[in-house]
Amino acid sequence: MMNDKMLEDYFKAYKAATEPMPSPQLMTNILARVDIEPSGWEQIIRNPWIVFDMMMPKAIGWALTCCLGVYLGFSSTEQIGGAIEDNYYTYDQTQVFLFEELNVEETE
Amino acid sequence: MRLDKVNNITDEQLMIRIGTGDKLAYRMLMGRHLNSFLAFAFRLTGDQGEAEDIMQEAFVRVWKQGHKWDTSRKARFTTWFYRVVMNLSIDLKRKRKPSIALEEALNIETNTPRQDAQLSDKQMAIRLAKALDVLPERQRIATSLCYFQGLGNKEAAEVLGISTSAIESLLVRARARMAQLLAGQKEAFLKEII
Repeated sequence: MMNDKMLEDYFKAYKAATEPMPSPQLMTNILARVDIEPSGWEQIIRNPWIVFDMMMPKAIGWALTCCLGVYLGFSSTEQIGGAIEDNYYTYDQTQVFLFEELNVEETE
Repeated sequence: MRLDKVNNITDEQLMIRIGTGDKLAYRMLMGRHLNSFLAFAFRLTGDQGEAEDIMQEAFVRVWKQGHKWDTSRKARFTTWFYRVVMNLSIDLKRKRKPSIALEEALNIETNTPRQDAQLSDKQMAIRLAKALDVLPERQRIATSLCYFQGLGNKEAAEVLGISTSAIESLLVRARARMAQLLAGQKEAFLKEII
């Protein structure tokens, strides 16, 4: 296996060889594209519907969160209600807990 | 604007100005980062023409998406821009055929003299380029970000969207594989990747 120092030498050589100078045309091309393409606000002024496009992911996210919240809310109340129905019965406005094993000591 | 004031403006502040259509801010941001990101794109694609095309596309995105820059997220411009350049490079590389065959890459050792000390810088760079080309994509990108772009593990992890420990693991594996390849241990390398 190659040692770390030798590997570092390879890294240095590679780094030096892969730092190209941008061609003179590159900067001109990039700046020329900017003159053609409208900036963010110019796009919005030209086409206000973009705002809705931008808001859409957030809106969908909030809507899904709300749905999840409502679902969890309803499902948790159902569980509580179910538990009461299973284990209690109402006797003259009082809830009475039902024991499966009822040990009643006889008292005289 | 005074020069010291100009230097104090952060990339993120420039992005906000770009969002309002400020071309001077755009020029400044380009002047700061063009060379470094061009080198990054060049390392990922291996072709200067393609790297320049990527830079054009990436800077147009800066111009178009400046108004969406959200200061409340406290995101760094460079992290976001590395991601843009990385994704464009990956897309471009996947569209074209691989630049180097695995077999060719594994023949690095036989085509060149064995003694590393005798190799010129250019030969060393070519050999490392071939070794890098064989690495899995994420290892290659992690290597490029940390060793050649000079990013810390934390920022590189943010660029790749993984944890710091995951990037450390990627770097360790990448180093080991490159060392195996450059030392001519083809069997060990093949055993690991197959």
